[in-house]
Amino acid sequence: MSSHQKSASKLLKNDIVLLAILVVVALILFPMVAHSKKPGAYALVELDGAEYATLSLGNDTSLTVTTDQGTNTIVVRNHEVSVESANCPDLICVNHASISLTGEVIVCLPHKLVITIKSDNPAKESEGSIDAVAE
Amino acid sequence: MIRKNIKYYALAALVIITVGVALCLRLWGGTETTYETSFFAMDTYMSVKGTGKNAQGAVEAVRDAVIGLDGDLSVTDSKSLVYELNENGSCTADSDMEYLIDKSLFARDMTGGAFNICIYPIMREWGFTTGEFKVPEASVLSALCNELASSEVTLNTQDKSVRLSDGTMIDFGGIAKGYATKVAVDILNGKHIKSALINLGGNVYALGQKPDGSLWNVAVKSPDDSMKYLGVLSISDKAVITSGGYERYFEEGGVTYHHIIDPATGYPADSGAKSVTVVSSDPTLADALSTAIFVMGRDKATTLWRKNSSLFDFIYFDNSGNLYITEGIKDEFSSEISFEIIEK
Repeated sequence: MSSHQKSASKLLKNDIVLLAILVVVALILFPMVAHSKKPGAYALVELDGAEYATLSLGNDTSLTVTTDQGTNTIVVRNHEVSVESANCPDLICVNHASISLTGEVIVCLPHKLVITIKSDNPAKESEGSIDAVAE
Repeated sequence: MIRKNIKYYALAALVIITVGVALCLRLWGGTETTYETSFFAMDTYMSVKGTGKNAQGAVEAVRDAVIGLDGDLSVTDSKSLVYELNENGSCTADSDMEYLIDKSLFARDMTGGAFNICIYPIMREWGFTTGEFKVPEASVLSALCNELASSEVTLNTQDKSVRLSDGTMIDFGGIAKGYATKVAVDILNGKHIKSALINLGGNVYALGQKPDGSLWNVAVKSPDDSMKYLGVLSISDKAVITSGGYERYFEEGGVTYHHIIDPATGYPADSGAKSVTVVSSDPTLADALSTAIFVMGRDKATTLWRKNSSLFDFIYFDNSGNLYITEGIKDEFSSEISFEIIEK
């Protein structure tokens, strides 16, 4: 009777030790697994492959990019990005519909300007969002 | 006493195994990186993203190869093999040219001439190769079409010699991006990259699956302003290549002339197609077929597909706003608008 009692309390003690160890392991593993970042998106502006600026989609703003090639005025309005004006010959960037979804791109080839919508939450990005646009 | 020790040993072993597995996973994951680069080549914007061990080396090798191909396939660069072939009417093919000619002739025969690399003199007449657009004289076009009908490219598979019939000139522009995609896929496979997304100016190839194991989502751009996408394809190891008149065009006298020329008439194709997307594991063929189907129209394209449904599938959007897809991609394709499935 007493030995049975003893083993029961021992089991309980070992259970607590095991639980404590699992909690510690979980605490160690959590930062490895979770890369929690703030959700939200921004527009990355690149010139000839190099990062030039980032624009939060949350703030209505405009940015005029001037280089040796020419100028483009980029506008953020209601979480959408468009090129309002430019002095490139084809004006493809200006005629392009505004973009807002992760992965969408506006390119001004003559000025080597690329605007890409990026998500700063890569984990969320992979859930059903668009990876590329065939056009 | 022994039982007690066994319990502690078991517990210790459990902890060591758990931490060990966690560390292994972390180290394993640490060597797998994602690297993305973008660059300008073939008159367009390109981006390549790959995940794996030495992803950077693999992705940069792709970039260098595609930029190299740009020069090698140029019709205007006097140092290129294509230029030499057009000047002299003959040359000795390198491996790129051999593959391209072989694939081009296959696509030409398959499509009844709707895809033809010998269309170059007509494209040049319209100014689509130089950007100096003009509407050619009808008589000039009909003469060029007659010439095109008898144009021949012959490749001797033994000594790799290429010969053009008199007056024939070729341009791989219609399949250059598709071929560049094929080269990119070969490089990435050779460097054991299991997950990558190649986007050469809207010609997309999804290699393997996303790093999280899910399928790649490739949207098909809508040619109409009323909606953004015709739909989304969830795919793996497939090329998605779209042709549309909206890509390159010019206006003269209130008429819009787009760049997809019907080899039979010499004029911009008028088959009722507004946008054609081809899905295939062969990017070079997909590039040729997207152009050909735009020229052929839905009925002829359906016949072509029924004969070759193992090679490709297509998405067809017509001038009246109707959307059609072939049966082979019905499980991969989703759209906010209704569409009809073309069955075998």
